[in-house]
Formats: sequence, structure tokens, C-alpha cells
Amino acid sequence: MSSDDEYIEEILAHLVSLESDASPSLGLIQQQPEINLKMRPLLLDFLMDVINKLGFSKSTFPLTVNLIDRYCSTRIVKKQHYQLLGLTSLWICCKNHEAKTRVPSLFDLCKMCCNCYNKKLFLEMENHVLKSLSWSISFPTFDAFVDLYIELLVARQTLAASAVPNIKAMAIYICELVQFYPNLYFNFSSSQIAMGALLMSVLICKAPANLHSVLTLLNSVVKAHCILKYDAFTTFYKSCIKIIKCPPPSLKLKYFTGGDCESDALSTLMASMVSFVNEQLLGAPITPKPTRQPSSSSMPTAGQSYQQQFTMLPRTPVSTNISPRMPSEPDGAGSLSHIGKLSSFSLTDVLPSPTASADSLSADVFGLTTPTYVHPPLVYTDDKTGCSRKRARTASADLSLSCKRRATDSVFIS
Amino acid sequence: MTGSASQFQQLEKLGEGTYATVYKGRNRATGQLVALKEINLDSEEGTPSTAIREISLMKELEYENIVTLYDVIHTENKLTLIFEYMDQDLKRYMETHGNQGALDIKIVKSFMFQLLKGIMYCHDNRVLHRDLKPQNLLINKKGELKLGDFGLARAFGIPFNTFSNEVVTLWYRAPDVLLGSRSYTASIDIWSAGCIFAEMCTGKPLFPGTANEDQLLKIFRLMGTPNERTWPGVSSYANYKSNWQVFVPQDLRLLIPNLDSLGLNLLSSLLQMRPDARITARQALQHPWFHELTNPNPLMHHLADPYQQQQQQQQRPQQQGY
Repeated sequence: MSSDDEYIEEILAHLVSLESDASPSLGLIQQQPEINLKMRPLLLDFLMDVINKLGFSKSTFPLTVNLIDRYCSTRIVKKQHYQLLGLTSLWICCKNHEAKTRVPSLFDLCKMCCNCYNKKLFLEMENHVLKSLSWSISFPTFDAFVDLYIELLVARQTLAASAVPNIKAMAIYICELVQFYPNLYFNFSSSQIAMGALLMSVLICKAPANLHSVLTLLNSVVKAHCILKYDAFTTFYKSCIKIIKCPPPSLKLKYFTGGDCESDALSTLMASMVSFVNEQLLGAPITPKPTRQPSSSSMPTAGQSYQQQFTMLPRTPVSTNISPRMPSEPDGAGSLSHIGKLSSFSLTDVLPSPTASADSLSADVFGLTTPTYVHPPLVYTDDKTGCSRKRARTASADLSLSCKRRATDSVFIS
Repeated sequence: MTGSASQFQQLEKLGEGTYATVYKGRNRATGQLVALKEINLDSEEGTPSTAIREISLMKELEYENIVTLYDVIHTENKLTLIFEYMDQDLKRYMETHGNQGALDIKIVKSFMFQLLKGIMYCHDNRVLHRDLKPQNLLINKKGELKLGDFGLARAFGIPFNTFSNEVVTLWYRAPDVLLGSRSYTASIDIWSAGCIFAEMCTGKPLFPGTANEDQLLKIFRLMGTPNERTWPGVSSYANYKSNWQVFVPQDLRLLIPNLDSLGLNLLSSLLQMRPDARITARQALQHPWFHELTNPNPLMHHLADPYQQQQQQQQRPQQQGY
């Protein structure tokens, strides 16, 4: 790849300039009359599940999220159309990124949302999204930045090539996680999130690299543009360390309970991350800096509750360690109920303001309640979700199941 | 980007591709000529992925050697892209202006320079064209060459995603792609540029293969059959065969006698079998063969504008006849 080395700096400069043109606006999203930031993580979790099951590339998720947020910064979206927007954005990103054979058909899309939207709606929405974003849909995603940074660090011998796979996997995980948290995601650009995640990943993997020299090198690449200052990284780090152990269910499934051959290396990596976080949180409790972020009023509460939670948790094994507890369940639950617990991804994990009542989030957040749809009774919710989780883990791509699960999730939450 | 189809008068058909039809058009208000690329929308597929890629990439690329996308008109069953109008593609240009297709070396030099500038701009903006061929290079009356048809182009990250290897029309396809590589890079556009270079000089396609295997053999016959010694790692490609007929590399001079040795040197740097040995567009532009263009000499000024020069030559005898 020697011939590409000379392009890295130009490409990085170009991507940084592109990203400023295509950033969503948090202020405008917050002005949406019907949808709010509490629904966002649920939608993203649903989309991440779809992406995992269909095995899309790692650029597809961030690009989809970018399209959703940018559309919400330009057009009013009705509550019952939020999932339609999500799936249509995913569809557009697949057409842009994935091989033709992998792009889901309209039939697949309808199935993914349990037929609550028809083909015509998807076509109409696609037209709206492309027009509203004036066809600018190749937003630079963080995985492109992570790849470029790593390439640079290896080329300049600041990072050993042997450490690359772990650092990259961890950095991508952090980037994916950060998107679920509006108060982190909207305060940093993709290039910053990618760099923050990479630096954290260097710390977590205990890679033989000097953090400061990595920071200085990456900040010097684009002329007259410092990507991430040290104190901005500290802010990023402090917020991130609190959420890193508690991913939403879709990411948990992807990173902590994967059933493929990579899973061994991955779970070792994740275990080392959890023990790193435990050390950090136990050793030096972090007081969040509320001054940095506009919506940070929620952060302290979330942080404290996490700390309390962490101190009670055992360090290993990974799977039980990272499962958030069901409020009503005793600790020593068996393995099956652990699977059930995955769906108990509590709203407080992701909401910008966990103190607010969750009542406002009704079960039809994703427009799943068409008149014909009947919620499964709450009583056997756990069994049902347990089953669907299990099936999902055995690589079944039955998306309608995931939809059902999603519906039961919302029931459980509300 | 808000136009309506009635803004443009549709004139004659310019060409038909696999997913689009191109018409000449005229802006009713300004009289400006444009190219209208019409794409029919399928009720099952929605907007085709090729259109999504082409439009989103073209919107980013604004450069003198890349065709400009003015507007997109999106109706329920049709998508129309409004492009800058260009007079001819390079293939037609060679047929009409060349000596049995072969162009004057001065024109070749100007076109190659512009082609490489366009490629460099794409690669700087992390875009691979992936379908460079004379039909996709457009020429206007000013002698400007611009890259067009980005329907197959992709944005790349580094390291690259695994792409499909069904890219680039067979004749201009790089040997590493023919051998089954799916992790190709910017270097595939460079190989195509080399093939186009030779074709402009001779008027004939350099490697007119009929199928994947035949294409490889045509390349080997000229460039030599690769082995682990000349190309470490070649045997690990999916389509590698150990029983290929062994050819020795030929002298490019015999094939293109009208090209000077500096030009031949550039050509062989573009046509390196090993992708990582291939020159980059930026390096190629600094090649000494282009020095007369990069260090303009007032006497050679016409070189930048071969079309005008040709017109002058055509006009001169007439003036003498007066």
C-alpha cells in the first residue's frame, strides 16, 4: 500500500472539511415536536440489531445515524415515522456502501418493521431523505478516521503493527457506543470521536505507545487544524469511561456474546476492558465536569449510579459482569434469565436525563402499534424475549422476531 | 438543487448505458447546452445504488478535469441528472480526429496530463473511478478533457473495503483485479490510464481481451508472465495458475514506435503488473515527459490547447488560398 501513503494526509484533510458540512444540529433536533432524544437510542438499537444480523460493513451504522440526525435537523418527523426514517436511511446507506446483493429489498424492509409501513411509504421516504439532504450522503464516518489514524501511526512507527487488531476493534466499539449517547455524540465531531476512541483504546489495550506522542502526531497531520485538544480528550474520556461497560443490547450481543470464531479474542479484549474500567473507577472516582456540556445536567446522576453499580459487581466472567440488572430480579439468576436480561437494557443507560419519567415513552415509539397489532401480554414477556434472543444468537436473521422483541422491550420499559 | 424537467428542452439522444439514457438538452431560460442523464426508477428498487453513489460523489468533486453535475431532478418515476455538456467522448474524438485512431503525440500529452490531473483529484478525495475508458473521458471544443460517468465509482477508506472485482471494462482492467484481488486500491485507475495512453498513441486498444483468462494472456504476452520472482505473492491470488504459457516482456518501443523514450518510460511506470510498483497520479504528473507542460514555454503555449492548434492548421491553407 505504499502508493496510498502519500494520499493519507490529503484524504484526512478532505474528510475533516467534509464533516463540517454534514453535521446534524442538536438544537434543531431538540425542537422536534413529536420525537425526542429518548427515542433515539431505541431506534439506533433496533437498527444496530438489523445491521448485525445482516452483516453490514462498519461504515453503515454511523452513516445511517448521520442521515437520521441530519434529516431530523431539517424536517419535522412524526413519531410514527421515526422508524420509517431509520430504516429508509439504512436502506440508502446500504445502497451507497454495500454490495448490490446485500442491499435489502423493499419486501425485507417491510418485514423488518412487521409490515407497519408499506413499500410506497419507503419509496416516498427515500425521495424525501435524498432531497432534504440534497444528495450529500457520503459523510466521513469514524471508522474511516480510525483506519486513517492507525495507518498513520503505524507508518510513523508510533504504534506497533502487532497491537493494531485489538486497538482497532476496541476503538470501533467505543465509537459505536458513543453514538447512543446524545450528550457525547453531538458535542464531538466524527474525527474527534474516532481520535478519542483510539486514544482510549490505546490505554485500555495497554499498547506500548506514548499517549502524548500519539495525540501530538495526529493533531499535526491536518495543517492548521488541531483535531482533539488534550483537555477535550479528558472530557471525552471521563464521560466515556462511565458508559463503556454498559452497552445497549445490540452492542452487547455483538461484542460480548458473539457466536463466531472471533468471539474468543473479542471476549478476552472486552474482559480486559471491563477490568480496566473497574480499576479506573475504583482507584480514582471520576467526578464529571458538568460545565463542559449543555445537556450535562444528567451526567452526574448517571455517573454516580454507575459507580455504585460497578463497585458491587464482580470482575469476571464477562457476560454476567456487564449485564445490567433487571430491577425486579435477584442477582444469582441462571443462564437463561441472563439472556432474558439482555433485553432489559434500561432506558437510564442511554437517556440524556434518566431522572425524567419514562412514562412519556409509550410503547408505540417506533410506530409498532398499528391498529391490528396486539402487544404480547406482559406476563410472559421474559420467556418470549429469552427465546427470541436465543434464536437471534444462533444467527437467525428472522427480523420480525427482533421486532416483536423490540415491542416487548418497550412494554417492559413503560 | 431544485429544478423541474420543463426547464430543459430535450434534444437528440447521445448515448445509452446499462442504467441510464443520455440526451443533449438546452436550458430554456439561458440557452445553455447540457447533458441530461435520465434514469428510470424501478418501483421495487427505488433509487438505484449507482445513482446514489454517482450523485453523492459528484457533488463533492468540483474540478476542471471532472464533468460538473449542475442539478438533480427527482420525480416519482424518473431521475434526471443535469451535467455540463461536452462535445465528444475520447473514443469518438479518436475516430474523427486521429490518423486511423492514432492521435498526434502533442495531443496525447495534453490529454494524458489532464487525465492524470483528474485522477489525482479523485484519489486525493478518496474516490476511485473504477471505470476509466475512452468512452468515459469527455472532450470539449476547447481541448479540455474531463472524467465522466462516476456510476461505478466508490469512495474508499484506507485500508480499502473489499470491493467486488467486477469493475472496469475488461480491456482496461488491471492484472491484480483480473487475478481476483478484492482489496485493490487507487492503482487500478492508473493501469486504466496506461492502457488509454497506449491506445491514444496507436489508435487501437492495447489489450482487447474477450474474457478474463484471455485478457490476462494478452497482458502477459506483452508484459511477460508473472512469477513469484517478478511479483512476490502472485501465486496467492484466487485466479492464479501455475501452468500459464511463459512469455518474456516485450519492448514497448516496437508497439508504439512514434512515442519518444521519455513517454515510453512513463507508459511502463503506469503499466506495472504489481499494483504497489505502479506510479501514483501525483508522481506521474511530475514525470519529465510533462516538463514542457509543467514549465510552460511561451513558444509551446498551444500545447495546452491542442484543439485550437488543429483548427489553426486547418485554417491556414484556406487563408493561403485567398
